[in-house]
Amino acid sequence: MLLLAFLALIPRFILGFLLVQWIWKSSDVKDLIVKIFLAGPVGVGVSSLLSFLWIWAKLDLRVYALVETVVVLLLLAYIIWKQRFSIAEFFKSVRFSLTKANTIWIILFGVALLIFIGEFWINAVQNPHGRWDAWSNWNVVARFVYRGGQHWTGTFLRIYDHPDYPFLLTMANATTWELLPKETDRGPMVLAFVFTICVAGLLFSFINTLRDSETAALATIVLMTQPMVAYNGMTQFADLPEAYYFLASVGLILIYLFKRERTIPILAGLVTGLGMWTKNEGLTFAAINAAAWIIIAWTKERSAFKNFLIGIALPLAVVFLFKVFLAPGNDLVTNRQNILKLIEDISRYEYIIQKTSIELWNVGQGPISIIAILVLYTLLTGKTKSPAEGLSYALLIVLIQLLIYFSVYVITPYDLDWHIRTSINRLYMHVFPIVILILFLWLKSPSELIAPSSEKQYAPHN
Amino acid sequence: MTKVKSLLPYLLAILCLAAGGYHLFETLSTFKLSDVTNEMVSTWEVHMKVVQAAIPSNVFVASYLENADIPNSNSKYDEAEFFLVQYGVAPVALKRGFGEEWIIGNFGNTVSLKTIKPWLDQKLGKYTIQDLGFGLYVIHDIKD
Repeated sequence: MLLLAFLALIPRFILGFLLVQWIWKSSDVKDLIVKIFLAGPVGVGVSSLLSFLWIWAKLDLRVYALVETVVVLLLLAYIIWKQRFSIAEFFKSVRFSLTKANTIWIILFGVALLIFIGEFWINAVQNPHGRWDAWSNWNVVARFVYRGGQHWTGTFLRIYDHPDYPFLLTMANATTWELLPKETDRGPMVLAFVFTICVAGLLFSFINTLRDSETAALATIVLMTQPMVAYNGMTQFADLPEAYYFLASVGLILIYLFKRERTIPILAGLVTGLGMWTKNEGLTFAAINAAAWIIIAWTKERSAFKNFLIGIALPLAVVFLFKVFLAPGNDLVTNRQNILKLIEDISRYEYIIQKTSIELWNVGQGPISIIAILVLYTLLTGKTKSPAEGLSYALLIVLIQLLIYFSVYVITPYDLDWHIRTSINRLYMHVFPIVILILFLWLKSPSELIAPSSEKQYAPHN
Repeated sequence: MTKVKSLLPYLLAILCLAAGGYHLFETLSTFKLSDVTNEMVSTWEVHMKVVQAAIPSNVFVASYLENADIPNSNSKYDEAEFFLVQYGVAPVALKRGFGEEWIIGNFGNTVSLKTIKPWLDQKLGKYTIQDLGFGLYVIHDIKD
């Protein structure tokens, strides 16, 4: 069933890849790796938007799943046939050269990947339905859609913690069950695994494009060896998918500033929108990203923001319709009367700072504090002579998002200690891959440390 | 100094691998196959299939009662069990208390049907009750 659940996702990966390739036409091998790791989550996300509109129109989800699969496979066959000569040329032109340094990094990377996969699956088989939130909030909605058919809106009658959660994971899992056609816990499990692997893969591919493969391998090893990442993946919560879309949004800003390819903002808009469709935190993240694209458009290229808007349009429209016409009010902001009192309470700020700082120190959840290790590594290696452009934008986006999380804690209607304890690690997870991305693009690369005199310049390929 | 610095990335990678490997080893050493077979949600799922089968397929809202609802009970509302039942019986949406024609009772093994019957008689009047084991009941409130 595990393999079948994976096979059920393949058409959506193809959909994602075709869409990404259609928007961003570069044939560079490094870009292709980025596209491969964008394909799965983009395909799953776009499919979930369309399938949601489909069931909202009171149409049968199984019909959608089958139509989507057939159309995507036919489209793929047509494109392969039409482009067969250029595809063959492309594969002929790809050359892999292995140096001694490369080989060492491949071995280290391989070991990290095994640890990462092992950590995920050992925890996943012990929690086939995921952790608490997975069955109480996320997968239960997928059951309403799959089992309920036209009565899926009954999900809004439930008693629950977060009544306005969006439907990306819901529709993705329900579509998988329709394709199998069987409701199995292996579907959400495989989807969680795909997102977990894609976070690591996307981080690698971004740094590989913006820097070099050694730096990319090192950064990805750091990410994959943090138990927090695999754990957040296997829980089947929406936080790791959210971290994925956040990373994709910020990474694409950096890729755009590096390459200045005009269609990249469309892709950035799309993944930012999919972040909104994954979890509510994506709403504020999208607003911050939109502000960043306005600044980029103002200072670099006018069309950038317009293209970002084109990309975000579909997810934004669906999220808007969902929030306005279907979802009940948010539990954090509905019927709040004492907000001002909470804002004026200085002790809450002190408590939040204290608690979140302790959690930050233990953020990776490994036996050694990754924060301590990275601080030490930063002090010893220092800044690269040619950092990627836009790192300050990326850092600012992370800081503003964290500030928003801080503000939510200040005004939370829940017990503050409980709220921080049950959410802080997941919130750090949202931005952790971006922080790793920024840090390793800012630090000296392994090759710079070997030959500091040769001032390696990282220039765009084109 | 340059040579030492050139080794730093490898040291970082090896340190991370050692820490990650150690954590994985710890996870593996506490791993028990019995934890997989007796996993809580999967165990509930088996019982929930029986509950689902006892409710007609055209019912999409049901009431939910548990120990805390029984008069003079010392029990507290068990949120985890409520969500486990909700997860199991979806697409039936659960509402706490009486009110719906179909009611799921989750009273556990410590409460007997004899104990709750007077309370149900008083609240419902005419009804049927199916004892599904594991302290689970499906009650049909027959409105006159």
